[in-house]
Amino acid sequence: MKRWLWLALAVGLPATSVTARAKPAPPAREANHPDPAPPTPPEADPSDELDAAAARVAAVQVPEPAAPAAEDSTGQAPPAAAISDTALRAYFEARPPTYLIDPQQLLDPQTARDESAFLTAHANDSSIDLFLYVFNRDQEIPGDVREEEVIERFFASGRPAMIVYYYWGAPAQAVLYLSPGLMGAVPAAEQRRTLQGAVKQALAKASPQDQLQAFSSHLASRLYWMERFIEDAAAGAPGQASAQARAAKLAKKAPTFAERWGQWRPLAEAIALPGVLLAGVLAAAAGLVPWLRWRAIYRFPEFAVEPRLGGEHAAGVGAVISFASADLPPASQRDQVAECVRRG
Amino acid sequence: MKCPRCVQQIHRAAAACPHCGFTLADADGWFGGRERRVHSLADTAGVLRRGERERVEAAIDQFKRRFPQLFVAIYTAALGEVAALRPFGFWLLNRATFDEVAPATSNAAGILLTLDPESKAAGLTFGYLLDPYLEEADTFECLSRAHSHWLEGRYADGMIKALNQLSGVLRKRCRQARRNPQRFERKVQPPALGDERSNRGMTPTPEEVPQ
Repeated sequence: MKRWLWLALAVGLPATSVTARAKPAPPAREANHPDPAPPTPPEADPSDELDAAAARVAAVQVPEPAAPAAEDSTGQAPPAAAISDTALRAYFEARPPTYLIDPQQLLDPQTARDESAFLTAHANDSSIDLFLYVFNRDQEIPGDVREEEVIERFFASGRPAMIVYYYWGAPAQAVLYLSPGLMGAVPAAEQRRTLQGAVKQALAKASPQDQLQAFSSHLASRLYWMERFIEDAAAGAPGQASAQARAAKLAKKAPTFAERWGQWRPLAEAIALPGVLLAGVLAAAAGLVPWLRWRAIYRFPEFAVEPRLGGEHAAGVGAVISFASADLPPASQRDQVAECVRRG
Repeated sequence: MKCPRCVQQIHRAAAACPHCGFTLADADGWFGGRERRVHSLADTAGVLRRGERERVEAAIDQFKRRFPQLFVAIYTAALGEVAALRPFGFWLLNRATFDEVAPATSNAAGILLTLDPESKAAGLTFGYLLDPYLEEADTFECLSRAHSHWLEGRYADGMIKALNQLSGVLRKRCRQARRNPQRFERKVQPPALGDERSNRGMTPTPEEVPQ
């Protein structure tokens, strides 16, 4: 089989694509499943492919030539490396009328219909279109086609768009471009993260159909966030629009001091004078009570008391306290009695 | 009611102490029989300095303003024996004429604080007007407030503290007497005839008090 394939390549037989398209169409996207015998490409190490994709984006979308595949992932003969002139014209002659550009008909009809419908639906929902150019995994875009110039010429006007050169069966070779209007709005890091995420999602799948589906789905979801990012940037700063919305919401919810004061003003005016008077009275009373108590004069009722011990004015003897020693408590010497009395 | 000499309980209107036979005549024999004129603040022991004396006089004046019926006198003397303080206070309040006190005011409305720096003791004596209102415990409380000051030799501070405490006690008693004067009158009135419980020294119930 291998020998036969390499032989076919050597003689330039364009048999692979034809053979691939002779395969029965896979089921729709919802019912999609891996091919009966999905061979994993021997060189498709996910980490290596991610690094390669990042390097390509960082290098301003210069696709590296794909390594020659020893065997097609579908188990069929590899496609021809050259792109026909007819296909090249279809790819790069004008702005594509559809979102899926596959003039070589590399996708089987069902997959092409599903993908085209998905991209159209995305365009209806999003303000950023997604154009998917499909090439075969070992094809190279001719050197006389300058991708940046093509993008500049076809996508400078019209709706903003993301343009992806996707290599069938080799998602790690994908190259991402943004229309000139988007290029300044989306940082290069964000573009790189988008492509890396899409490649990672695609490599998690086994069949090329599933890879394409995962790839484009991830790009569509990232485009949604990219769209939000651009809206914030257009509003002035990231998060400013939402902050303004929150501020407006809060301002609507929380009445200002003037509004609150307006609500309470009639009541405040009604109770202001009595309140001030009451507060004054209370304050005066609070200060007056201690002052009156301090100024108070006390008079005792006088009762007739019979004199005792011959005293005309007094016989009421109170306590006696000793402060001779700090060690003895005062109570210990309350009742001092004369020595002559103690002796008897 | 206690005897100033033997500090034993005596009954109302006792002409002499039933325990030791003490009378004012005995005190006259010890301290002198004739009348004596003294200042309300008489510092014969010389324990007060000029500034302190003014502070104490101010406290005495404030007391007089608050209790116009009463007067306070302070007498410091070196008596030599703690036990002589009570008989001396008893004798002085009966025999002295206080200069700053109005002539119409009887010594029965007086309160005398005697202080002996030699024997390091102080005592309180009060006239018959306060007999129903002051207990010995009240006077001891007043002297206790001054105790720490007198221990340190700060006599003026102690006197002012004692006067403030005495003023507080008397204010309270005055309010109580205004609300219920009978309660205090009972303390000095002779018991009703035939009232056995009163004779035994038990306090009669309010219903039993003659109106």
